[in-house]
Parts: sequence; structure tokens; C-alpha cells
Amino acid sequence: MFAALRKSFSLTAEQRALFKAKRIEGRFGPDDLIAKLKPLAEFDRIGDKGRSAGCGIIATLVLVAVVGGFLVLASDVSPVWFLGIVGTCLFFIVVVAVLNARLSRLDDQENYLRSVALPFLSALRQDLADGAELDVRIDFSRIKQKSKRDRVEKPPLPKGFSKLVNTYYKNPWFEGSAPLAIGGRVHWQVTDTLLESSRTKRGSSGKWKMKTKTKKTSRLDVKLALPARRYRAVSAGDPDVAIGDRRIEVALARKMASGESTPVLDGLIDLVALAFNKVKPITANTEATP
Amino acid sequence: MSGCECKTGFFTLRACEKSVVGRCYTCKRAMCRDHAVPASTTQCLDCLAKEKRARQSPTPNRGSKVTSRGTAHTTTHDGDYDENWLYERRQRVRDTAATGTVGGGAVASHHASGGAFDEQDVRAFDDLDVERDDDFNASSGFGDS
Repeated sequence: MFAALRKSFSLTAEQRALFKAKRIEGRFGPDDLIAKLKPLAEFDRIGDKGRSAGCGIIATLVLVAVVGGFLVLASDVSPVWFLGIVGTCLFFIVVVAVLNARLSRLDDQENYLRSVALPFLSALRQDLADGAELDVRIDFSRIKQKSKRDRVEKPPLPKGFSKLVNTYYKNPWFEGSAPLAIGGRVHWQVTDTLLESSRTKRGSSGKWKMKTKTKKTSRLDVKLALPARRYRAVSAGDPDVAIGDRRIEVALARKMASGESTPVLDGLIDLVALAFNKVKPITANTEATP
Repeated sequence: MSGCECKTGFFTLRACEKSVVGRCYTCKRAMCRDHAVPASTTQCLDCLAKEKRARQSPTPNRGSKVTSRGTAHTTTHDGDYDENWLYERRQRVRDTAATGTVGGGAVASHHASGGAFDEQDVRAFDDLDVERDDDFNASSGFGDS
């Protein structure tokens, strides 16, 4: 936790501004972009650990206060001891809670920056042309906010329910395109959709109960455009490959029913790899085994 | 020794040919500083990644699961995406290319219907009974908020 706090004090003004905006957009050199993202990702990682540690400290202090207070009350020692133990614990609980809140305010974001965007860009950097620049947009703010609300539906009520509202949030949070060293361009987009279903029902005892449940999916889109004079489709009639006069384009999409980051990273890398596998060079084979 | 004999790139491999700093004792290829294990001129990053994969493949680590194809996919990661991860992942990409499969599910056509949730997704909520809280906790993949 203290490492996270130290790190938070060492953030530069630009990094603080990026954390506040929770968005990076523009044209960057790959090395510049990765150098910009790395400290943010590192702070996000340390911040998450720090907050977990803070919660652990608070839980321990509560336990100490309860057990210590009970033992003091059960024994014959002065009540001053009770006040001392409980008061000290309460003081430190407040201090840790305030520090945790400070970390949360600064680091209130999805983990996608460190667990998807940064590793994907590090991998893609190796395939870019020398001196190439990427067009990138990364929005790492939370998906559940008003500006990302896509639509609200009130479907027919199932039996026994008095209210049912489905709210859909849409978040195209990672998008970009980059020129490749082998010629052509790759474009990718990751869009998260969150379905939040709130249901209200009156139980047999007459008590009203409300439950809210969520489900998140990620849609990955990859487009690969390569010069048609140098590449051809691996299999003729492939519906994912469009062959034009000048360009051959591969367009793939994939829906992932997962809110976790690692499958999204794996899915994105695999999808780009699959797009490359659908075309092959007409002349010399540029792909070789490592 | 003309230039680095390792391949550069992630999705597409091409010759590196940077100036050589040593030769890998495993694959005997000449390698540049970028392709040598950091602080070493005796092993290339490809061979290190191969060794790591060979060590990991019989029993996946904690936090990994084995897919139906038998490949280990790490499900949790602590953000340590370094050069080793990059080279290990590159080899998995080559394996994917060799088998023609993509991990983690089917690939839809780009022109498939754009709705992120289909009927089945929404219907999954229909079984919920707010009277029985256990149902909420036992549901697959749903999280209370």
C-alpha cells in the first residue's frame, strides 16, 4: 500500500492528467506510446495491490478492536485500556481508509490498459515499419457510466415480477490502426457491452426484493489490408477475404462472453494471427519459423 | 558472422540482420543484442521461451487452464508482460498458425449480426428467482452488483 502511495506521489503532471481523463487518443510512435503507457500500467498494478492490502489492514484492525475490546471488558483492567485499544484501532482504520480512498480516486479505471492494450501494442510494435506511427484510441474509464449507456429496455415481465429493466452499456475502448513492415495496414477494435438487468419482485411474505445482475461481452474486430500484387487468399472463396484491384482485405470479428482481461488479449492476438493466416505472399515466402 | 540470424516480428517474421553480439548455445544462431537474453550473450530469447514452454507444458501453473486442445492458456496475469512473455506468446502464435485454430472460441464473420447480446444471453436472466438468493450466487458467469 505504501509502495502505491509513494508511486502516486511520483507521477508526473502529464501522467496525472491522463489518469484523470482516462483516455489516450492520437498518433504516436510505438516506442513513445509504450513509454507513455508503461508508468500508468505499473501504477495501476501497484495501486490495485495497494488497495487490496489496505482492505486487509482495515479488516485486521477491526478484528483487533473487537477481540481486544472484548478481552479488556471481560477482564478486571481499567476501562481506559478499552478506550485506548478501540480508539487506536479506529484512528488507524480512518487513516488507512482515507489513503485507500485517495488511491481509488486516482486509479478508478478498468485494468485493460495494463492487461490488454500495453501487451498488444508491445507485440504489434515488432511488425511495424521503421518510423511508423500508430493511430490509437484507448478509453480506460469504467463502462458503467451515463455517457456509455447505449439503450434501456423494459421487456415483458416474467411471472411474479413487478419491474424489469435491462440497461445496455457500450464501450468501444480500444481502437487503432498501424502500418506494417511487410506493407499494408492492420486495424483493430475492441468493444465491450454490458447488460445490467434489474428485477423487482414481491415475495410471498409481502416483502419487496430487488436484484441487479450483470453480464459483459467483448467484441473484437480485426481488419487486415495488404497490397493485392504481393498477397493472395490462402483458400479461394473465403467469405472473410475481399480481393480488390489494389488491396486484399481480411475482416474478422469475434464475440467473447467474458469480462476478464486475459482472454481478451489472447483473443485479440489470435484473431490478428488468424487474419494473417488467411493470406500468403505471392512471391517469396516472408514467413519463416522462428 | 554477417548479421543476426534470429527473426524479428510477432505476427509476421522477417530477417533481423542487426550486428551480432554472440551465438546462442542451443540453436547456434548468431544473435544481436535485441534477441539475446538480457545480460547474456549465450542464449537467444526464442530458445529461452522454448525452454520455458517445455517446462510448463506437462503441468500448467496455477492460474492456468488447459483448453480442449491441450494448450495451456494463462487465465491470470500480474501485468508482467516482458520480453519473455512476448517470445513465448509469439511461439504460441506460430503453433496456432500451424494448427489453424484460434484459442477460446469460434470466429464469426465480420459481417455477422452486430448485436453483442443474443436472445440466449438475455434469456439467461429469466430463470432468476429473487426469492432464492442461492440462485444468484450459483449462476454461471453472472456477478451481482
